[in-house]
Amino acid sequence: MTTTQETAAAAVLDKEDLRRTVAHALDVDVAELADDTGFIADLGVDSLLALEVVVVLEKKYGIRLEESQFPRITSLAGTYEVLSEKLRSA
Amino acid sequence: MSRPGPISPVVAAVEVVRPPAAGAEGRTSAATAVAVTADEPVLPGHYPGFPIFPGVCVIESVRLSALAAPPPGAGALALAGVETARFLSPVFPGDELAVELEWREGADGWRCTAEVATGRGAAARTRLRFTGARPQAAGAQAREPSTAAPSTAAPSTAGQPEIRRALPHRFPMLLVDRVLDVLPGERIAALKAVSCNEPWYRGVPDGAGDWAYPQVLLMESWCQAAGLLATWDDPNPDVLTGRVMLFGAVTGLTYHRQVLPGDVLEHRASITRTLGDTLIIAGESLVDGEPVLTVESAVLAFRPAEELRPAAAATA
Repeated sequence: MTTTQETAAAAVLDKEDLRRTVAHALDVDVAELADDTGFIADLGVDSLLALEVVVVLEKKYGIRLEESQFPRITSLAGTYEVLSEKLRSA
Repeated sequence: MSRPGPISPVVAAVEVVRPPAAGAEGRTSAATAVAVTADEPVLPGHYPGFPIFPGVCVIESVRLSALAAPPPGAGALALAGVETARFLSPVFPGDELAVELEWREGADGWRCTAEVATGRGAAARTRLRFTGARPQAAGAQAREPSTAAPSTAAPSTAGQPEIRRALPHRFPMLLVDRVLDVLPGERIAALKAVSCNEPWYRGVPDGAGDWAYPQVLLMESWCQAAGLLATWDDPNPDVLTGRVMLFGAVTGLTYHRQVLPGDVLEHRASITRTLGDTLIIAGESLVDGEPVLTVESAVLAFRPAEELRPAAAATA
C-alpha cells in the first residue's frame, strides 16, 4: 500500500494520482476507473469497501471527511470535487 | 475423528473441479469445491445453537484449494498474507463452496485471487499472497530473553467471564484468553496462549515436522480482540438478537513468522475510524515482542441479527 504511506504534506490533488489511489483501494485496474464510473453501480463495490476508500483518502490527504460528503464519493469525478473543496478550505 | 491432513481448522476435503490451466497474460486458473458439513470442528463454538462457517474458515478453504491446485512449477508454497478479503454473505453447514482461483506470479511471490460462492451467490472474494519460503518459526531459534517485563505478568483487566459477556464465540473458537488493557473507543491489548491441546492438533503424528498454528486462526484471534474493543461498552454475546458484529473485510494482513504451541500472542488493536455502524481497526500480534501478524485494516460492522439468518441471506 505504498500510496497510502505517502505523507499528507506531500499529497497534492493530482487527478491521475487520485485515480491510482482509488483504483488501488477498490482493488480494480486503473483502466476500469473512468471519471464517471460508479463505484457501487458499475464496479459492484459494497458499502464497507466504500468506507475503506474514505479512510484511505483521509490518511493520504490528511483530512477528515464528513458523512454528509460520502454520497458524493461514489465516482472519481465526485471524489475529486469533494477533495478539491476540502483541500481549498483546509 | 482422526485428522491425518494438515493442521487446519477446516476438515472438509478439497475437490479439484478444474485443474490449473494456463490462461491469458501468464495467469493460471483453476476451480475447486469444498463441502461444508455439520462435522466441521469449529461449528460448536461458532456459534452455539447457530452454526456459521467462520469467515476465516472460508479463507482457509481458499488456502487449501490454492495448495491443492497450485500453478505448475511453483514448488512448495506457504501463505504469506491476506492482501484483501471481503465477506459478502454467510456460509452455513450444508453449503458447498465453489472456489474459482486465478494465480499470478509477482516479484514477491504468487498471488491467488479467489471468488467463493455458495448456492445463494457470492460468499467471499479474496487475494492471498504465497511465497516459496516458509516464514520462520518464532520459536524455532534461540532468542535473547526479552528485557521488557513479560506481558503475562501484567494485571488482568478482564478474564474469561468478561470476555464471554462480550463475544458470542465459544470452544473451540473462542481465541482470546485475557484482556490486558483496554481503552474503549481507542485500543486494546489482549493475550491468546497457543497450546498443542487445541483441537487442530488432534491426530497430528508425533514425527510431524510442522507444528505451526493455523494462520487463519491467528487472524481470527486478532479479530476477536478487535471485536472486544469494538463492543466493550455495549457487549452482545447473543448472535440471535439485537445487533451483531460481523467481520466484513480485511486489507493488508501480513504473516511474519510461524507461531508454535507454547507461544503467547499479544494482540494489539486500535480503532482507525468509526463511521456510523462500521469500525475500521488496525493492529498487530506479537510473540515475545516481535510481530507475527500485522493488519492494515479490518472492517467490523454492526448489523441487525436477522441479516445473518439463512432466510435473509437467501434474499440478500
